[in-house]
Amino acid sequence: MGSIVLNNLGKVYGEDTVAVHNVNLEIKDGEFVVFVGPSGCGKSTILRMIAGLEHISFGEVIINDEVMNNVPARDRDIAMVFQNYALYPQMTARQNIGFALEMRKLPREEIEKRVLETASTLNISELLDRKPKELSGGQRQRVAMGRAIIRNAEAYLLDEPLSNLDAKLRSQLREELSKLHARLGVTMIHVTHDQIEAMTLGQRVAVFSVGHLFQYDTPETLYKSPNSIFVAGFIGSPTMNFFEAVSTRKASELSISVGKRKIGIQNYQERFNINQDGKLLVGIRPEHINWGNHSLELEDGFLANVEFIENLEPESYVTAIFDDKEIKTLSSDDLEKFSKGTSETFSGTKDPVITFRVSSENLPQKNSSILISLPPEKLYLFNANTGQSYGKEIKW
Amino acid sequence: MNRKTRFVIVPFVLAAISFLLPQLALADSKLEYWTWNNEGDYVKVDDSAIARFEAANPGVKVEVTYVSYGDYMTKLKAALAANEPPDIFQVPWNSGFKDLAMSGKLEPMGSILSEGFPDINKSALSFVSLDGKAWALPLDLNTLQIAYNKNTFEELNLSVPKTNSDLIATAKSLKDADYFGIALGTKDKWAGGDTWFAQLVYTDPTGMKLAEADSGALGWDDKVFSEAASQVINLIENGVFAPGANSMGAFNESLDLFVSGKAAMFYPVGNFISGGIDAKVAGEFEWSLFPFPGGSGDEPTATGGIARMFSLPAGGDQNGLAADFLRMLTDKQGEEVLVKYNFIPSWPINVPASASDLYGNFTSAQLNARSRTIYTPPVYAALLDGIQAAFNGSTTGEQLAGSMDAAANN
Amino acid sequence: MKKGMIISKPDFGTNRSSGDKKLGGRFKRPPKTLLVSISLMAPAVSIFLGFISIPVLAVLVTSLTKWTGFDVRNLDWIGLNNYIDLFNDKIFIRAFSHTIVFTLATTLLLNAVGLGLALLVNTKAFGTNFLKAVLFLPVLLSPVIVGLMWSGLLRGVGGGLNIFLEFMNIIDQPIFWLGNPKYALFAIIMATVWQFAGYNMLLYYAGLQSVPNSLLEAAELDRANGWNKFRHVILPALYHVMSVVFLLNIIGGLRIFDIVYVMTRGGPNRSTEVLATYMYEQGFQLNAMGVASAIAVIMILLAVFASVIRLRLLRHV
Repeated sequence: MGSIVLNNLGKVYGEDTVAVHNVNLEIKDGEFVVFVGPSGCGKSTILRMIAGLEHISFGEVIINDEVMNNVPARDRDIAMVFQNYALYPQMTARQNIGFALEMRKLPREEIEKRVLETASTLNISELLDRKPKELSGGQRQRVAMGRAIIRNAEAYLLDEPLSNLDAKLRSQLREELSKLHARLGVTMIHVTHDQIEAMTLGQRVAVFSVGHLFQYDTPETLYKSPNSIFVAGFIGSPTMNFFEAVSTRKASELSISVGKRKIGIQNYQERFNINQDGKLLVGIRPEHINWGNHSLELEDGFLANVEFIENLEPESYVTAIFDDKEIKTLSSDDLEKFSKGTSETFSGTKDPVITFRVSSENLPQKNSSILISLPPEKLYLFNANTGQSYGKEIKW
Repeated sequence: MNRKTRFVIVPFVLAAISFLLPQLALADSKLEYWTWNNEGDYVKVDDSAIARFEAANPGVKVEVTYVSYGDYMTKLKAALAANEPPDIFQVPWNSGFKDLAMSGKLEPMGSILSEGFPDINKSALSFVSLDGKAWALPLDLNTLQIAYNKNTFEELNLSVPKTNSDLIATAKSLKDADYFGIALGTKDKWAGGDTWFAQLVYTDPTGMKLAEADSGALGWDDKVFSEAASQVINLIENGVFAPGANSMGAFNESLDLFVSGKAAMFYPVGNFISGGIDAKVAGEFEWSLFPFPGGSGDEPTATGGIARMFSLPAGGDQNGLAADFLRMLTDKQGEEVLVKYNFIPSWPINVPASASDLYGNFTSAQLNARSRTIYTPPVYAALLDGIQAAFNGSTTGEQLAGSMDAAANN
Repeated sequence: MKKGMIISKPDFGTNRSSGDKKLGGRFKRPPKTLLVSISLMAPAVSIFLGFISIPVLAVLVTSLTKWTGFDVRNLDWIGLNNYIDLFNDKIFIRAFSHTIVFTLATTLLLNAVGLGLALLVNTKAFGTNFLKAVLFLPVLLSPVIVGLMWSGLLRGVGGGLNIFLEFMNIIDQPIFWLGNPKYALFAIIMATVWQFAGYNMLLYYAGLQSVPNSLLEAAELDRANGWNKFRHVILPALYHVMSVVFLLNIIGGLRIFDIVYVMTRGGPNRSTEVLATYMYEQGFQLNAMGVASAIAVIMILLAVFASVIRLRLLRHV
């Protein structure tokens, strides 16, 4: 088992296509870390550089205090589970799982014993004599896991191992994976583009975009104090709502104008490092929004029209359009721009739109007029140019 | 007329016209003539005959079709089997001739040849006769002899060998001087077979036994045949031939040895190849010919046979015209053209004083030339295999003749 | 984009019911579609009948006769005698065994060399692109040309190989490669391998492109060395390609003619006679069309046998 340190790690393709920018990151021995980010963010490339399958352009991969840059993959003692499982098609599950040990010239009985152990850990004992094409997707995934965990590797790298499975199986295996890690206590790096997977599995989660490491922290911290508008938008479902706003400092109160209305944040210095007035971006998670019927007067409420209701149990997602058309809300395209670091301008959505999460037992009527309130203590503030959070870093 | 109708009618009319026009133009008759000799002087011989024939028969055209030698029999067979034979066709003088003559597809030539043709040599006529009937017109002949490098012979003070022992001694002298003996390419099996025919001339002084055995009256295990093979093997064992005969073609690798001067002799040479040798030697050295020798006391005699011969289809409706065309090839003017290009007509001629030595040599050798063909294909095949085996040192004269006999009785 | 909200709609069997409808339709196809399908099949069927079935049938029929090939009226029925005679014919037996030896040797060598070259070219190292093109060139040549080239190279006096061997002081007397029954067949095998190795290389190279990279990476992490990667990943992935290449090579080997004819004419003394050259001799030199047809039928049976074996082997993959 081992610790892994990435020191200024980078990958350049061809002359000047930078796929990974100076990534610094440390994984402790026995830790379960998830690399998450949209496709093309460089997370798999980093994983492959750790495994030794990809040449390192600059920086270092250090495993157990040893620089691994020039150590070939086969000598790094890393086990990996591939997205498409990469099972040897002509071999049975038994042979697939035992292959690595066979290559290490272990005695036959020893291999057989460990294959059986591994298989029972993964509940695939009865599948051992089948070939990959005779196995279902989930079964293949388990065999692929088995092939990795049968080894006493320094670290186990899982490259989107659940992405080819259906939703139900995925959540089931997610749980099993968690338990497996708890039982084995080994170092694991799990790559996924699915933030739910990241949040449920990772002890720590590294959020990547376009080759940059945005934030590396516990799932709770990522959720509660994202360091940037990209992380804030990426983590959480449905996505956080963002508005354009103008702030004015008044002693201990920060007054924020969203459209025609103002929201006041008391004792803002406790939560925010903000020392200028002007344009900024405000974010609020769908689960933190309150709403009421039009008749029900809410303090600082925004009038809005219910546009669309996504009926789920026990909670539903409601999308509404503000009556105040001066409000400018950010579109997914705008967030995309922030994923590359900064954004000069943003186009906004066609209509000012907001999504919030409510109990399915108490839903607004479609096309009805409602009042929405944004609780000041739940607001996130971001720099409108850099996307950096103004929030003070709070460890959770 | 609407567009659609026009679309249908116009191509139909065009097709009909294009079909009828050539028919009208060729209302006069044409003679279809097949040959594989599409280069060299034979073309000139043909062209001259065609020109004179067409002048004498206005409205008749001779249409020449060249078919490569490799495909010739395949195509001719197909045409004959389909009952659409050409009006005149060249036929190869080889062991397959018997099957062709006996197929009933050829017109017997006896009565045609008796009118307006020169007196064909008896030997030549016998080569094309089976069951007492002649099946082809032999136009010209060739003789197979050994070519030798006069310069090398002079240099080493060698004279033309008259007997096999002379030949062996000559080969030894040549070998001592770092020359090969006779360059012979038996990869083309027939060339090897000709060494056996050359020896048969001497082991069978009657000259009758080949035909007898071929007709089944005599066994191929007769002594004359095995002795001829033993003679060939004797020559091989005594180093008369350049090594590697079985790896060389009759007129390429083996001829290269001769023209490059490495081999002082080359076999077999007939008038059909002498022009090619002249071109390749290109004046580098002088060369001449002598007949393949035999035992002591034997008069050196060349083997020979028919170079070009022609047949007509059985009951062909244009056979009268076709015979007229053949007469153009053999009349006085035809003979002049043949002689002009150094071909040896299959009838007696007066060699003009202006003719070369080589030509004189060919024509005189032809007068008493002996056959070099077996008409029973499996027997011929057994002979050719046996000679290749002899060149690999893996057979005896008796074994060779025995395998020929076995092939005949199979 | 709402992250993590992939909710699949329940499938109420709509797809299946539409599939059932199609299935039912097959049996109630209106006559018009039947006409269309017949007319669409007609070209393929008539080509198969006209150019394959009927000629094969004709050969089969001819093989039961004695016929010189001149006149169909002179065709004698002799039943299976041609076949019986062939198996008593020493030359045929030799031609048969030479064909088998030639086919097995060229198939094995072509596959070994072709696969080796494909692996080499697949390293995509400097110069391999050039190598790929050059190695494929001989394939484009006519076997007659290749035969002539090799005849020249193997010539006893003045041949490239002997000059080289003499220069290296390995031999002092020329070796007549094609004139010696010991070497001639081997020389033809070499020439054939030289000509077609590039073809196999290309097929294997194409096959190698479909070897999943992740499998090779998995094997690398499992600490497989080069040989084990080849054995456990590359070779199994090439199994189907290999079976096709083997079959092509076997059928090509069974019908080899041109290169043998050019290089040795089947000699010396039948030491390189193969079925096709013997068939040619029987049919067109000895005027034994029946015998030649019988040889052709035997060649067809051998090819069919090879492809049946292939299908049998593949069934278990």
